[in-house]
Amino acid sequence: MNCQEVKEQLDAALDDQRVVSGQFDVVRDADVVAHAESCPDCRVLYDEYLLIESALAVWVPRRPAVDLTDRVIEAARREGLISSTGSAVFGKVDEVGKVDGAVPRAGRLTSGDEPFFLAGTQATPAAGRSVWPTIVTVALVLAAVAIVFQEKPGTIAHREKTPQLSVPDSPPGLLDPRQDQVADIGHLVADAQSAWRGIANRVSHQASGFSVFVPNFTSELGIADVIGSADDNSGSASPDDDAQRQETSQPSAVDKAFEFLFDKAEPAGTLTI
Amino acid sequence: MTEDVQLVQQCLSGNELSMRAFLSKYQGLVFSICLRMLGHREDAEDVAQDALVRVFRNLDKWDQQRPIKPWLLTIAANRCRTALEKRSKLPAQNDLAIDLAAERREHSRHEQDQLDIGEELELALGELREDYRTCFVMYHQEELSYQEIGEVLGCPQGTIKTWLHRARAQLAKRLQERGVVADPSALEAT
Ligand SMILES: [Zn+2]
Repeated sequence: MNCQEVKEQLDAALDDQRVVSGQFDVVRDADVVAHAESCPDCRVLYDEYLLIESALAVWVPRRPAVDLTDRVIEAARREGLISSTGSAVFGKVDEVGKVDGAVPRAGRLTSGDEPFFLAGTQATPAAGRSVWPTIVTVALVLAAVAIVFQEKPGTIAHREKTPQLSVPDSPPGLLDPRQDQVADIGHLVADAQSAWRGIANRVSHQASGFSVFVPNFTSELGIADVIGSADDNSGSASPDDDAQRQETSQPSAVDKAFEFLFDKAEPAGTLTI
Repeated sequence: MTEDVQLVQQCLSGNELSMRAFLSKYQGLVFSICLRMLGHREDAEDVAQDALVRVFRNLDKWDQQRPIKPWLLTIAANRCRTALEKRSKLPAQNDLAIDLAAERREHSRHEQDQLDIGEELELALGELREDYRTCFVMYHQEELSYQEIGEVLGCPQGTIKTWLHRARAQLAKRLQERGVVADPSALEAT
């Protein structure tokens, strides 16, 4: 056996050393040992081999504990590598409501963007895109209501079209469908009750704390048979009543009462009592 | 279908739980080689994170007919070499590998006055030059073949064989310098 053969045998033996799986191939070849004892160069190699061989036999490779899971998952999420299904509780966000600590990412929403609210993460459900439509809708509704109520300041509710009492339609046809926008419905009910009493009793003077002015329309409305001629109610009010008529002329409590009664309380047919 | 193939396919569908399971299985391997190559824990964490994200980004490129370990180590080694190149351009940098070895030695001295031969080997490894150390670890710890290490590090097998031989020789010399002697009983026990 020559020096080269010894070297190859020692290398081959070390090559077979696999620490984790516990493979070892210890050189016990008598020829190798005999050559190493007689050859100084190969003796050095053989000693090195024995040292490494025995060290590898007991070596426990360090595998330091580490937990990069959350960091990697966050980074993967920012890259859109994580599906939203199964992990996202709510919708997704783009520039707002971002997962805590995430780097802002330009661009629009995609299926791979970070979930708005995640189980097990520090997600913050800020103003996500599911909130904005609600805010816009509420703002539009408030604006519309404000416009309606601004038409005649100082009144509870108004109709765009005042019922034309000369129209021989059934009362419900004259009424404003936006009756339900009246805020103070209790007040209107009280007005309506008073007005109805005034109509039924053919009075045009004060009733229940305010004046009821009943114009000459009862026959046109088909209730003349019930309450009789209203001639004495048309334009024959006393001076006292004139002052109070001013108060109720726009819009009159009677208008409100009819509106309320016909639209809300009474079917059309029941009026011809 | 192997367990790895199944896991990878679930990861490819963006399943977070599967990705966490994948990390649980392989982040130790990736971080370990990063720490071996860089010799500095914080750097190794950063580079390992980068490497693992790249792994997820490129999972579809893994050849499912081949073992995944060399493929993972290839990505990790590439990121480490990029980091080492950047580090080499920094002025007045320290030899972090040596620092780490000294740190470990100090720590070990406190724990145990007499290190066993396996611990001495670990310390000596920390003092090797990076490519020798990486080669030694990939071969003896990760049990990759010459061919696989060559692919991982982008070097011919002959180079890998040379590096591994030199690594062993230098380790042996360092152990001898420290008065460590072979323990025949350790060999007999195996
Ligand atoms: Zn010889």
